[in-house]
Amino acid sequence: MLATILVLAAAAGAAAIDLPRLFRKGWTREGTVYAAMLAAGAAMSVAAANVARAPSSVNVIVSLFKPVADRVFSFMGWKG
Amino acid sequence: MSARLEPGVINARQMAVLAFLIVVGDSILIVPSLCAYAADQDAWISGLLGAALGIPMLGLTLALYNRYPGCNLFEIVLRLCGPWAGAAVSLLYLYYFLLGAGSLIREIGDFMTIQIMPETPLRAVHFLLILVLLFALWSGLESLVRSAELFFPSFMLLFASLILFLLPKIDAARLQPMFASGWSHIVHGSLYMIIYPYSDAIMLAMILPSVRTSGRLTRDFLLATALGGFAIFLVILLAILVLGPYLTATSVYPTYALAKKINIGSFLQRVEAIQAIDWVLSTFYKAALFNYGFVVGTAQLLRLRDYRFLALPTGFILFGFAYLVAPNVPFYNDVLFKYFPFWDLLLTAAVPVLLLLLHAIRGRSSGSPRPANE
Repeated sequence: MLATILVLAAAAGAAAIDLPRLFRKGWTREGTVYAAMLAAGAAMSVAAANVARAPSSVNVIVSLFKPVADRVFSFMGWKG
Repeated sequence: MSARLEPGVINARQMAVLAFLIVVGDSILIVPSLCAYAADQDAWISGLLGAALGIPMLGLTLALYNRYPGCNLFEIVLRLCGPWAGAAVSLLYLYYFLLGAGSLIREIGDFMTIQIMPETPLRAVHFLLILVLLFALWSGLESLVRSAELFFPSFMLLFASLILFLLPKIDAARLQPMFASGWSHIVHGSLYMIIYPYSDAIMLAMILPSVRTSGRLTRDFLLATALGGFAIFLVILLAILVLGPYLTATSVYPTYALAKKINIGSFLQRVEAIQAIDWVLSTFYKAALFNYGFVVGTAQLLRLRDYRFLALPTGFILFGFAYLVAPNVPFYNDVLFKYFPFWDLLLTAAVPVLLLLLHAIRGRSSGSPRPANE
């Protein structure tokens, strides 16, 4: 719980410092991208800070290339 | 567009230093065991073959850049593929850069917590490393490259000392029998030498537009990367000569195991932690450039006016991503061994070749090659 609070407080602090500055300059698009990335990053960081069990971010690559890799390794007789 | 995003300018020598550090990168830690697992005692031949074949991979990056001087990778993709297909390919590259940065942070984290600081939580190492990465991003490309120049002599000194101090430990019999594993396995081993040091160097396409125009750029770039490849080859050769193929293949970090073997007159010993500075440095610069590529690419794709303000959100993303990249070291090593090579080949060989073909077709259909700098 403490880890979650720390991450969220850090993200809120970053947003409180940077977002008003960006919107004051009229950088609406930049502010929106900043907020979206910060939200995504905070969610991922909460998972990391709590050592949560989550699917690996390379699972996409593994599932995409497993058929190719298996065939190539088997065809070439490589150690797998 | 990139000139507006990145005001910093570097010279060809600084580019060469960075290219060397990026080729050495994390490969100095992971490639020896991958090559040895694939090709046993012939891993050194794989290293040599891979170093020779890796240079043409870099040629792809240079060929693309020479057709669109002043443009970074994302600009070239968007220009050649158009806004929609270009955005799709750019998203792939963004994921590639993010995954690259996250994986490298994780590699340093795993290395530190497994070998040097087992009581320290992985997240603490990640946090500290990401702070430095964010500072590098905030400071800009020029500062990053100047710091690389500053560290380069000490990097070379430590690397040279690793080689020299291990010379008394080598046993040439460990190379025997040569070619026993067969060419197929030697080629397999060379795949890792091509992929991790060389194909990852496509990230340099993000900083090529910032290099002050110089006739020596291609020469310096190729020379630096060839030297980087030679350095990795030397480490593979030493690992086989000192540790033997079995220990090299089964060690998670054979270079660290190598440094542990240093013992000059029972006086100069246990210098592995000092040697580890080298690997952390080169991996840091590689991670910093992947991070730079991700942030500049995001700014490019979304047509933002600057990239530096994205440093903090990227830090949060990296902190999460580095942890989520793999549940444990065996899983990560399995991915490195079996799946990452294909993912890397797709984005660093197949897509650049397609882009070059697209350029040639467009040039032919319009009757003359497209102007390099529109």
